[in-house]
Amino acid sequence: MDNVLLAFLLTLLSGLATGIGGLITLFTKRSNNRFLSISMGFSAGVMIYVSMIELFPEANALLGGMYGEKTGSLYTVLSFFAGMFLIALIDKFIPEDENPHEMASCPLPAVQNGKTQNLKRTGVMTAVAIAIHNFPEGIAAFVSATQSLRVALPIIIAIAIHNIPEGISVAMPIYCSGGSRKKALGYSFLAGLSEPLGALIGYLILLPFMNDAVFGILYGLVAGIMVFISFDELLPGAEVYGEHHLAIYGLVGGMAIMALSLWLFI
Amino acid sequence: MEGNVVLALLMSAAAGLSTGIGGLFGVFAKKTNTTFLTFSLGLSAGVMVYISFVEMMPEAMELLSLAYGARQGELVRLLAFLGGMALIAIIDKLIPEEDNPHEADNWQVEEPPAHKLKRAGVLTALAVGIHNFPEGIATFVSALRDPGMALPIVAAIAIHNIPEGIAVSAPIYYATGNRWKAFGMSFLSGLAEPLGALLGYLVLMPFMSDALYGILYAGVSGIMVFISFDELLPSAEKYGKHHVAIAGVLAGMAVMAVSLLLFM
Repeated sequence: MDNVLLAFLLTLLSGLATGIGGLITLFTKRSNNRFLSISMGFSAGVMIYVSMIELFPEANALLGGMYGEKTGSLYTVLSFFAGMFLIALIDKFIPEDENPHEMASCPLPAVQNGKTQNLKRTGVMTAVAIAIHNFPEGIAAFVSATQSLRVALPIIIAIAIHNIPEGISVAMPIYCSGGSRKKALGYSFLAGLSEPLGALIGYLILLPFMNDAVFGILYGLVAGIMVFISFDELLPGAEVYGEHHLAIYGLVGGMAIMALSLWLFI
Repeated sequence: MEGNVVLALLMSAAAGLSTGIGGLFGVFAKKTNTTFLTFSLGLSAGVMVYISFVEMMPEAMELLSLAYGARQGELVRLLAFLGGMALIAIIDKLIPEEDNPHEADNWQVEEPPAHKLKRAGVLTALAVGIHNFPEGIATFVSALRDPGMALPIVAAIAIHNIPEGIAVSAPIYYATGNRWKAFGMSFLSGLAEPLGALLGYLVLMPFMSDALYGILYAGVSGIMVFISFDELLPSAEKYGKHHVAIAGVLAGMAVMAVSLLLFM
């Protein structure tokens, strides 16, 4: 039971990292393109590395133990690609400019010309979109945290890090459209709350069926989800700001930090 | 062992000379089909990232933990991985931006004057040659140890050499109108691949051990991952067809996943 509580707390923390993004927005006068490029590249590096180096082999080991090496690998690969398609579908249903992984930034000249009403709407819609996104992430973080802290910690860190730019993308348009600081911050926090909500539902629905095979499939799914988000949203997003080398340094930095932290946990 | 060496050399030659295929595309496609190019760049990235992480890194882990134990082996692996990234990052840094082979032909967006185009083509050929050198070593080393595992690597390198060949031949062809010259240059730039293999054979062979294989695998993974993220994906995105690029990445990963499963 302690494990469940701890898992829930960790998920809550990683979800509320969107609030950190909200705070950053309020304290930087203009959105800093260099900072955005680095941080998006960084989250992509973290997510790709942890997915491929930690989750994928872990899923392989769990499913291999259940079904034998060959069938186990097949299931790992299938759940990996299923995760990609799942998030691709979710992305498809969210209108382009409200997609949480694509960041809004205040100083864009197009939005400065008095379109404040639209901007505000964008912020609120982004908050809704992020909440939907965070739901499966919450399940993932929670499920892994109940299993083993060694696997869960990097996932939770990765999710927390990539929630920061998501929080920025909620708070930025609301703040820039003349909304109050409180309101901008509040929405960014709310968007992150669906993370522990997903965890709670994951706990109630999935826990009775938990075994190695379900864990393995979930790991594969989560790996697919994180890799897809990195390729589809974070990296192109990082490139949009025109700071290609910063994005790449962020990516390599993210991988290096993940690699070191995984090594320290061995 | 001798037969293996020849096979390994042949495999890296085949991977390298697919620049010639790209050369043919560049010469015979009237206008470069940007959708095709975007898709194939995404595909190469998907193939290289997938095989690096799913096949080579675990293999490196196994070899290195046998040689050094789990904890130290993992440290050696991550250092080799990051070292591979640093190596290719430095090479990229030393090659002037416009001549970088992994950035596929931006020439056609602006249509610069002919002499500039030609220079770009020749420099690109040189740059591709330099790039292919470590790739050749990589193919050769893995083919030497296990030809079955090397096949996907050869395929990945061959695929990603195609756009490189296009990048060499298209500007030369546009500048000179000479198909043979353009094709020949793209072919030549691929020759560095078996050359790298040969050099790898002569220099590395005496020291070959499981530990060195492990280090090379992790290093090559770092190289391939870096190229994918630094060059292939941004080039694919440049044409503005984001969904085509992503479809390419997914297709590349899926093709690799299926072929790895079949080889098990």
